[in-house]
Amino acid sequence: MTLMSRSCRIAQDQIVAVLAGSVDPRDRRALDAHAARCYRCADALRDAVATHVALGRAFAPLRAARTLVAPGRVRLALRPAPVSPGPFAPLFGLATRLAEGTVALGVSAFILSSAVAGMAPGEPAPAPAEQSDGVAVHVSRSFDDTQFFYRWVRIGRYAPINDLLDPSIGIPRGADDADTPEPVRESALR
Amino acid sequence: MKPKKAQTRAGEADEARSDRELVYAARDGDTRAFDALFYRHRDGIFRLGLAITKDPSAADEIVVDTFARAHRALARLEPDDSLRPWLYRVAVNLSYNRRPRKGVVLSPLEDAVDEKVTSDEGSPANLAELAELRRVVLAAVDLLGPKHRLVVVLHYLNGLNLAEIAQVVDCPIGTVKSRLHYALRRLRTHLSAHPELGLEPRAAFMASPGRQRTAPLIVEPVRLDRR
Repeated sequence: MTLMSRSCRIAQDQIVAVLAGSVDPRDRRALDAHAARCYRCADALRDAVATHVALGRAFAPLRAARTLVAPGRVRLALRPAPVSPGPFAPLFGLATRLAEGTVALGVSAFILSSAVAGMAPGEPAPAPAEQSDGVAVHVSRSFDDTQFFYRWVRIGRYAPINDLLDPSIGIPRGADDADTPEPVRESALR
Repeated sequence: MKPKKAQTRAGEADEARSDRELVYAARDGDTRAFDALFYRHRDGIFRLGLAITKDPSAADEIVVDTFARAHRALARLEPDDSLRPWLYRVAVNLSYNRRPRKGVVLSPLEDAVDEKVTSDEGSPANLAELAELRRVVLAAVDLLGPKHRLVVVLHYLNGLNLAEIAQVVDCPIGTVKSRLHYALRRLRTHLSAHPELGLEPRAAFMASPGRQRTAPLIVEPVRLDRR
């Protein structure tokens, strides 16, 4: 601890006030006069001013920081809190989960059973193909209007356009192209 | 066009009103008065939150939370003239509550803001020098304790005077002065390790220009009498 005179203590105390601009001119003159006599206080003032200037310059870009928050967000934050769930809320949640699980199981079972039925042996062979304009077309002799056909969407490789235009080349059939061809009305071929 | 003009005129009228008037108007359900208060103080609160948390999104949330608290407290708010100290005190508390605890490495203060270097500072060398000065000074500010750092941030970033800082940190002005004085001394100690920055005082502040003497860079510890 350095021993200081009373005037030095007052001067040191006023340095910050000088920097903050909250010292009256008379005190400022007194501080200047004291600093002219006391090298320690002059150094302290000089250092404080240097740091003050450096801080002012360092914080300058941060003072330009802006926010785009709108007052609407405050109004959203002021909304009433959601009502707390009742004592039966866990049971209700459990029932919901069970229902969801049941539906998921049902859908899975339906898909699996459909797939197995499609692969079942004894499926009738596709109708014989007839040649019409060089293109093989499966013809159904007996067409039932009441029967509906569901076709799976297939993503396959398209045939080159030249092959399609060449009547001597039939439509290529891929390995996965094994489903029942769509029947064509016999009258439509005439 | 007429309603737009009327809106502009109303906005100007709100800007002319003091915080106290706006608080009373907002208390009576005037939404526009509360919005005027919000727009008046949001940037300052954002900067304060940003300086403490160093996270822009957290600072945004602090702005929202501070004004949400202000809205809830409208009935009992009695600002003398400016609502700023009250808002800043709330923002400081929210910022320190939100600040990550142990084990979390905070980025330096300078990283929190996208720094836009203006071209009016001079040559590229000057700009680089300024950037280096900024980096060193803000790193030194980060090394201060929370109380001293807060006083420095409130004064140099938010531009609060000593009396307003005393209201924000809820202590006498003498304590604020001593904290600021201590912070400046600590900062000077840190900055003295970087003589290349050339932190020389301005000639106008020199107390005795005629005296030639090698002055110590670090001010000796001084006990300040608290008021």
